[in-house]
Amino acid sequence: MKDGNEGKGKSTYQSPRVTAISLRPEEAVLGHCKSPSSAGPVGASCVTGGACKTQGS
Amino acid sequence: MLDETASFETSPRFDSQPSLLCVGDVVLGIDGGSSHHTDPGSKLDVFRIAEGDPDINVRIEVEESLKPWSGEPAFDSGAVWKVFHERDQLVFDFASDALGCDPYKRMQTRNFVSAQIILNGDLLPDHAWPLEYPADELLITNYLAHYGLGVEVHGCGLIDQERGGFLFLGHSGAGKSTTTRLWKSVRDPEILSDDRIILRLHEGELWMYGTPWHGEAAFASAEKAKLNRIFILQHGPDNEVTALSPARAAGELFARCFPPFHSAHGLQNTVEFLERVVSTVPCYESQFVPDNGAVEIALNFHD
Repeated sequence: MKDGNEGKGKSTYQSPRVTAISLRPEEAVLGHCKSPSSAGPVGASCVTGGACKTQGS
Repeated sequence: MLDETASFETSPRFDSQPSLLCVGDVVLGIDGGSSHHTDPGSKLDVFRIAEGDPDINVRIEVEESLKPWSGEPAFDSGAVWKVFHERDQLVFDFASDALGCDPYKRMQTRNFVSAQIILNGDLLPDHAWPLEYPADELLITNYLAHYGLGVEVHGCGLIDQERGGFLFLGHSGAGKSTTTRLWKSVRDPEILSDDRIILRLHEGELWMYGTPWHGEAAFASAEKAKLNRIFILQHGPDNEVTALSPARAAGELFARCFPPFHSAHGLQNTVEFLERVVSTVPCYESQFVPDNGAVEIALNFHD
């Protein structure tokens, strides 16, 4: 039986691919400090006394 | 225990004229507490507005003390805040090792159209700004996610006088501050932010908004600009721009935004919003060398 699509230039099938994308939780979760002495973006007045644990950016 | 009399969604909003701030086209109305508590200070001057209908009504209260919210948190940021589910409300407790075990602040909200912020008078000074980071950013990003209105991204946004808006997304160390400084020296654009940008869609167009949550270069502007494309910064041996498929772009944008991980609803809305973003504008991986050539590549780039 002839395939009616012959000669119509079907594109080659490509199986789905999984691409791993790096997510940085210490940056994606709000509240992590930008510096040891300032909460959040550098320059914000901080009342927490520099207790933030990680650098956010 | 929740203050069940504080049904902000149905009661009159404010007894007096609230202070108004606008970030990412989200208007916050702040009332209650003392005059110090509704005055954000000079660093937020550019985000103040004289009039407007608040999208989020914030009521400030001061308690003599606060004890930690009981029960297991729905999400622990690992930083200063945790969030708890209490019937139909969310309770955010903010605590710092520097101040002890008790929360220095608590934020209660049902659907982010109103919020009650309770300050611990025993731990905070009288002039403490109730919406100090990260409360302000949490409130606005959760509001945007809850209603599918936008997303905050990790990036630097600038407005070139001749070519319009440019957005460069990047993880820490990708080169956002370097890019900001390069552009500043070569083109002197208006910098919306060197670290945090809000994206919103309006009538089929993508717009970026400056925020007060700047990075080390300390740029913050309340301006906004239309975007025709998004660049995602990567270090590389040469200045090179590579188109990303929409699916790949959506993933890269998700990795560089601040979704509400405690909320399945907010996460779904965030992903759907990003899907709309990548369907609206093309996204490109931008490898760059920290020299003026990186600016020229972006300026002269065509889809």
